[in-house]
Amino acid sequence: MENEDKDRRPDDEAANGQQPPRPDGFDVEQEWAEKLGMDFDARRAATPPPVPGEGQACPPPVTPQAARDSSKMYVMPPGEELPERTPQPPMPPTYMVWAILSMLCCCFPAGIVATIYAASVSSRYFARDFEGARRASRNAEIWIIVSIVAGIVSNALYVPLTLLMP
Amino acid sequence: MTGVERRIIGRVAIGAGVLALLALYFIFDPGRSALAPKCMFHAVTGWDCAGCGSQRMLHALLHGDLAGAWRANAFLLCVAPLVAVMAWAAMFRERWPRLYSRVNSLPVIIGMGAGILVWTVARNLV
Repeated sequence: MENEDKDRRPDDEAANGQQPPRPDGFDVEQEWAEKLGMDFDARRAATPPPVPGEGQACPPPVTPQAARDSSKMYVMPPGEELPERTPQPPMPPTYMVWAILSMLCCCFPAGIVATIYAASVSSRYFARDFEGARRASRNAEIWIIVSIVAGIVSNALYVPLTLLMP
Repeated sequence: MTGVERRIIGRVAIGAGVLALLALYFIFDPGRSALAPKCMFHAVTGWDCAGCGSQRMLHALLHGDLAGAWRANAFLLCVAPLVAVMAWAAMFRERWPRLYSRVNSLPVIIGMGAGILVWTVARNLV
């Protein structure tokens, strides 16, 4: 009698009328499904999925020749296309020469910033950070213009001062 | 005016401008002339920036005075050919893309940056 109590299955609880009767053998799956909040169709679980046999199309084995040709490495099922790889954009202009000239001739601090940005364009580009390289190129351009303008304005103010004062 | 004509006129104008600048630096000595542009960094801090003396260097070079050019700005005298190559590579980027990418490669850029930094610090300390 004690063993019977231990071996009592949840189905026996169903006999009390609390749960609908289920096909045999999927009690654990049903419990898990209820715990996870998923649907479990015992009838579908009873029929296993078809095993690929002689009648089914299998992808052809990869020959050594095809393995060298990387475009054939991954064989897609018929009717599907591989997603297109984004093409590599050309390297944005670095403005390196302009940055160095603006640093040496126009305004040293602003020119330093411009040179740093110009130097980072190529290093970012070769690290495949294309958006960062584009932004660095744009920043280099801006700071070169700032340096040139600062040099012109400061000289326009300073040179007349040195002329007026002996 | 077609695009080709505009490009030719643009290049002629730039060439004329460069020639005029060289003529000015040949005639006037920037060290003594009051009209030469001054370096604001030097005026405010008193220190030499990396390019201080470049005008005097150009004047000395135009007169064939290498020693005077070296006294004015030694670093720029050594680096000027490299800068000329970089400008050439940037101008003819489509024709020689490998040269452009080599000139903008990491060793060249780090070398230039380190050289400028060392020169700026050393010429103010020594």
